[in-house]
Amino acid sequence: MQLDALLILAVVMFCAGLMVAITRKNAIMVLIGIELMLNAANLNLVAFSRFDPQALQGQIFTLFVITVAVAEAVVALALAFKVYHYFQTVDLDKISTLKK
Amino acid sequence: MEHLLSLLVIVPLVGALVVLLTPNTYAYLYKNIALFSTLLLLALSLYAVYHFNTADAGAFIETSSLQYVEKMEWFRLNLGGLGVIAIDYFVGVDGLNITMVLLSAIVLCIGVLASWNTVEKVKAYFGLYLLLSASVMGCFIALDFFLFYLFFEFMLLPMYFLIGIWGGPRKEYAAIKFFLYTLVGSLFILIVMIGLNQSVYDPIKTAELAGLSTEISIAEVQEQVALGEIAKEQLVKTFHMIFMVDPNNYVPGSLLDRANVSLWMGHPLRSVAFLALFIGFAIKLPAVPFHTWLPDAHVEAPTAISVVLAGILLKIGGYGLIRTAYAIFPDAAFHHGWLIGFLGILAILYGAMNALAQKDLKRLIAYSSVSHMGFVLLGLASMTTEGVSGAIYQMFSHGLIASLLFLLAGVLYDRTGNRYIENYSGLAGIMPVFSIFVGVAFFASLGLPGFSGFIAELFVLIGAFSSASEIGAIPSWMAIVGALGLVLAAAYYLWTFQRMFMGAFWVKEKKWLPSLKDLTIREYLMFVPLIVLIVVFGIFPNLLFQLINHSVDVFVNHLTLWK
Amino acid sequence: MIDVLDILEPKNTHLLLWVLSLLGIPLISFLLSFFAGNQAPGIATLLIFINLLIATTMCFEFWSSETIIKGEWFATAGRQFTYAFYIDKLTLMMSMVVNFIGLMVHLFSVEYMRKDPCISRYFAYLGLFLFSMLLIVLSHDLLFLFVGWELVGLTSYLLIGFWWKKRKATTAANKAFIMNRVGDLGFLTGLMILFAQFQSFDLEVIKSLMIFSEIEQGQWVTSYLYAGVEIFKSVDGRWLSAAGIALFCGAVGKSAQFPLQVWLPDAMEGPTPVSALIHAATMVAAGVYMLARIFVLLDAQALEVVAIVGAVTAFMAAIAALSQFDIKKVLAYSTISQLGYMVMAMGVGAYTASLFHLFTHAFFKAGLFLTAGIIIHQLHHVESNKVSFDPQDMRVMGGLRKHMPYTFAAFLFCAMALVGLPGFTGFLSKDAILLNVAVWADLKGGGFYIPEVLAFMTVVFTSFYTFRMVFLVFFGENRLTRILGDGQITSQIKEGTRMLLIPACLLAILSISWALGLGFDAQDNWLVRALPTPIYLVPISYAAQSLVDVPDDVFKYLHPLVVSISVALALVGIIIAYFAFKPGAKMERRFTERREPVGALGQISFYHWYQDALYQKLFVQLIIWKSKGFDWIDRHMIDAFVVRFGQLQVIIAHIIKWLDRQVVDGLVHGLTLLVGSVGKIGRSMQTGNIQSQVMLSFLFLILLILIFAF
Repeated sequence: MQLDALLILAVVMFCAGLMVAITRKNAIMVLIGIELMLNAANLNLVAFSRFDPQALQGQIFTLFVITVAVAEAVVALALAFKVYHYFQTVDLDKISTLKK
Repeated sequence: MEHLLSLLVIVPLVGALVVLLTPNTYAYLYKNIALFSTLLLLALSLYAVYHFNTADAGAFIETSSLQYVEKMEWFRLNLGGLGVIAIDYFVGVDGLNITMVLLSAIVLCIGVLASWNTVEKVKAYFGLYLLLSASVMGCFIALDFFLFYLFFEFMLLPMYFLIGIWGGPRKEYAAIKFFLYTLVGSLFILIVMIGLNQSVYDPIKTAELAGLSTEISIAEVQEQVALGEIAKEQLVKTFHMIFMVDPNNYVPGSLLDRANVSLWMGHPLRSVAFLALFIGFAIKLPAVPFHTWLPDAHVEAPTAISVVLAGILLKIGGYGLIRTAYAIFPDAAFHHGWLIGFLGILAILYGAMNALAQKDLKRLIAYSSVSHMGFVLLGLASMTTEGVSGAIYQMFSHGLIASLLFLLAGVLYDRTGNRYIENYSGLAGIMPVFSIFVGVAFFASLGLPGFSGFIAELFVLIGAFSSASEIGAIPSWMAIVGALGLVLAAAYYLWTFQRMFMGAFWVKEKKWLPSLKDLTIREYLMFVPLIVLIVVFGIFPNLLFQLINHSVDVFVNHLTLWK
Repeated sequence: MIDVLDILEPKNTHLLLWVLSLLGIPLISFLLSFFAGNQAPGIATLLIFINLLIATTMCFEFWSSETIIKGEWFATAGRQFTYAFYIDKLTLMMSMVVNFIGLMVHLFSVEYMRKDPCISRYFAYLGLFLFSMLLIVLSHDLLFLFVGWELVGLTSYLLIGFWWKKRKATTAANKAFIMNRVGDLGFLTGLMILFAQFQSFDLEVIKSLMIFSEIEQGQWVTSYLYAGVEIFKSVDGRWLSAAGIALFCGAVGKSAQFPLQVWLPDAMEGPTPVSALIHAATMVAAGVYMLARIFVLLDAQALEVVAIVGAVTAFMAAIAALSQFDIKKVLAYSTISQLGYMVMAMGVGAYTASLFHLFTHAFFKAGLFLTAGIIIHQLHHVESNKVSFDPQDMRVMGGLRKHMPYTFAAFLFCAMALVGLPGFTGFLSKDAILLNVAVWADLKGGGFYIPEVLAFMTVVFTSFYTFRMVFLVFFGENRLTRILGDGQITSQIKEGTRMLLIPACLLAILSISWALGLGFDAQDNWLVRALPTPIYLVPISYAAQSLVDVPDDVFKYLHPLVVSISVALALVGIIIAYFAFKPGAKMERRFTERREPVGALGQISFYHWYQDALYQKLFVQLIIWKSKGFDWIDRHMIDAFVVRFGQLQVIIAHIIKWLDRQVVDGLVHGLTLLVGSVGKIGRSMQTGNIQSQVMLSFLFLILLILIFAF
């Protein structure tokens, strides 16, 4: 398979994830968008790891990222849960305490 | 007995731990645990003394003649251009500190007996007491300056609480005064310690680090360093007191190198460093005019703590002077000989004069301590064998005698809660044995032959007198003036004895009468061993002299060689 | 060159057993008596009797041997310290005398102290005293001598203050000990000087090195070997004289010489047998004995000082004895005066005469004290609940000859010995001293005649006060009747018991010269032959001219003159005393009326030249005042400085706290305020929506990439 194809797929995934993260109101959806972006980056890593078949650094790194992403997702979900508890909503437009 | 000396520190620490872990329902065990630990300590130190090789107890300069040495690297810091700092756990004994270890063990044992009737917060009391014991022991056996300083400082903590919690009416004032005063002294020591560390390297470790051949001798390493053939980054700076003593171990051009001629406020740096060390230890000793914390601390401290304070803690001042100030800076010590001798006779006379004017028995004894420790200073200042032997003997003997005196003062305080001399008269009638013991203690303290104090003071005086013709550190009149202290001592002791114990019986308060009973068995157990020891060391001085002789010889040779 | 260590080699250990038993028995007596309770007198007396036997045996066994016993005691770094005992005629005789008088006093005390509840303590102290006194006598090492010296001081303190409930007694005890300590300061200085020069306290070492020491250009130079190492000492020559004078200071304290003699009269507060043993016969003579031991180390200057001090003391004390009321005080001053004679004799170089007088004086003065003790004891018995008086006061005595004839005889014999009438021991020894002083004064000339004059004047005063005592105590009517107005009371005065009389009479007999086998000649008898004057060992240029070198003709020429003058003066004194104090004389009648003598001379005599008052003002008050001053300085200056310094730190801390709040913290506050206000400006541009911020940041990122890419 061509490298270009993989990279384009990654770009598409990234953009999709970005759009989701920026536009959706629901915090959970924003999280999903972020996960998409992460995986796009992972895809890149895997793709480029073709160029060092011995070390497989990219692939190992991806494994790390996945592991960390899991932890991060847990934290983020817990945060979302706490935010819901506090504000009684997960609508991000309604949570603008930074501007005060 | 490979780790004999470490055991001296570990035993009381373990004792303290056991006291802490014993639940309060077994409160009666605390003092037993403390007694057991200190007795074990005494047994260990007796074992150390018994197996001490007196013929080869050199020390001060060569590591080889130290005994029961334990040495391992504790940690190391790489400072780049300033070299590498290595701090060791290094303990060992020579003729000087073996006597102090023995003294501490004896006094600590007696101290536990003296605190037998403590009722308040017993757990904390004995825990702290054992902690104090551990740090005292550590202080005497440590040969790494850093380790020494650590124990030296750590000692203040239990002492602060022991005075501050179990003391008399003005305990907080006395405790804080004691703590701060000594801490100020420690700061001087700390500064000099850092300066020394930056100036002295460890030739053995330096050779290792620089990758020199393992067969190379220390002298060759020193030569290479002197020629600048070893990079600064590879010099291993050390805190070893033994290395600090040898002038060849100083990094050329460093702060405290002998060749360094730079001045600080018009004085050579070594001279300033010596004075700083001197002040630090003179506060502990205490020398006039740094002595005013002592009477307050003694008056407020409980009996047992007074005993430890007078019997051991003051000696750390003298010990520190010999071990560090004099051994490391003999040149500066010689240069300041007059000043130190003068402070010595000032302490002797001033302390005695003050003792004459005191109304509180404990204050009187505290000032007599100041006077007697003046002899230590005078003996050291003389820089002769007799003087130094006498100074060490005086530290040992005063440790025993001052303990006895404070215990005796405590007997009265236990019974009536009052120590004012003017409130008593004719006690000999109702407390005959107590009066005899007080008489013995007074005569021992005023330097009557047959008691250890006489040998000590005699040797200090003849040392001080012959100093002028032997080495020229102090003029001979100082010895004669110092001897005046003996007359004054007779005056204040006999006067006090007459006022309190002779004449018709009378006490100020009627309610004291029922409690004024003669000694109990526990008190006999404290006094009789002390009196026996004082007499034995007065009649057979060889017991102590054979321990210290070789070390003193080496030490005085070192002083004369490098003055 | 001499190696000091060779001299210090241990030697002659077989004799050590004798010496140790001689020293050990009194020590055992001390320990046993202390715990023996009522058995103490018996045990102690028995032990001292055994000790006397040992001393006597030793005397016969080793009379002509001059043996040194030596052994190691301890060593310091490089220096050896030994114990050393010397057995020669002098030490043997001294130990005989000490043990004999000790035994007499023990015997006497059994009766005298019988009713005292603390009798065991008393005999224990006596044992300790004999031990320390014999230590002084036997040791041949200055350090050991000093040890014994201090210990006799201690026992003297303990025995003077034996009746510790009496304030006067304890004060006297303190005074005695402290005065002696002042003297010991000198002794100690002497020890220091000699040790610095010779590196040893051993008298044999000091003497053998002293022979080889020299005076070179005013420097006192000594060189010798110590363990093979050559030692060279050179100090100012004046230290040589100083050493002698300093050691003499010790003797001044112990033998109650001017200016430290004031403790001895007060010491009479102790029990009378103690006064006899310690404060008349033995301990106070220790100073003279010590001078004899170090005699050869004294140089001319030191000897002059010794002679002058002795003469002044003898004269001053004789004057003071003239007007005392207390019988023991008279005897005390007389002791001081006689000690002054001995010291003066040492100073003029009359070693033999001085020791001669020491021995004779020990017997007759102990006898006087014991007979005085009998009188006091018997008068004390007369005291009852109704009648109370001071049994030592001569105003309550008089006419005792009839009541106690044996006591009177004993007292009279001893008194005649004290006065120095021919046929009594005191005559011979005093004659020897006076003769030597006369020769010495002729030799030196000039101002050195003054000691001679003082010495002869003392003879008159001595006989006067002695016979004043005899007349006042034993002749006429008993004055108690007159004072108390009770005629019956005199009949209650009885002669002492046998236990009291035997020791006193024995001592009285021994004050007759034939009893000691001395004959009539002061220049030639066994005692004089046994103690020849040694030659000085100090460097020639510093040595005094020895009386040994004076030709016999001079002595022969002066002798009859001196004898006749001294006997004549003594008789004059007796005659004056007779006319002044014979029964019914004016002064005798007025004797009871006065509290103290009138007139300048009387006052000076009664208050002993006001020396005590002067010391009280000059030293005691000054030192107490000074100590209070130092205490004030300590509290209000040194300690106050420390406390103020601490307080200053707290004040500084408060200032720093204020500065910290206002200045340093203010800066920080200002900075945060600045940042905050900048932030406010930026915040006003924010929507607060996270998503829009993320979008913006992405846009800017893309923008950035575009800028960097192109």
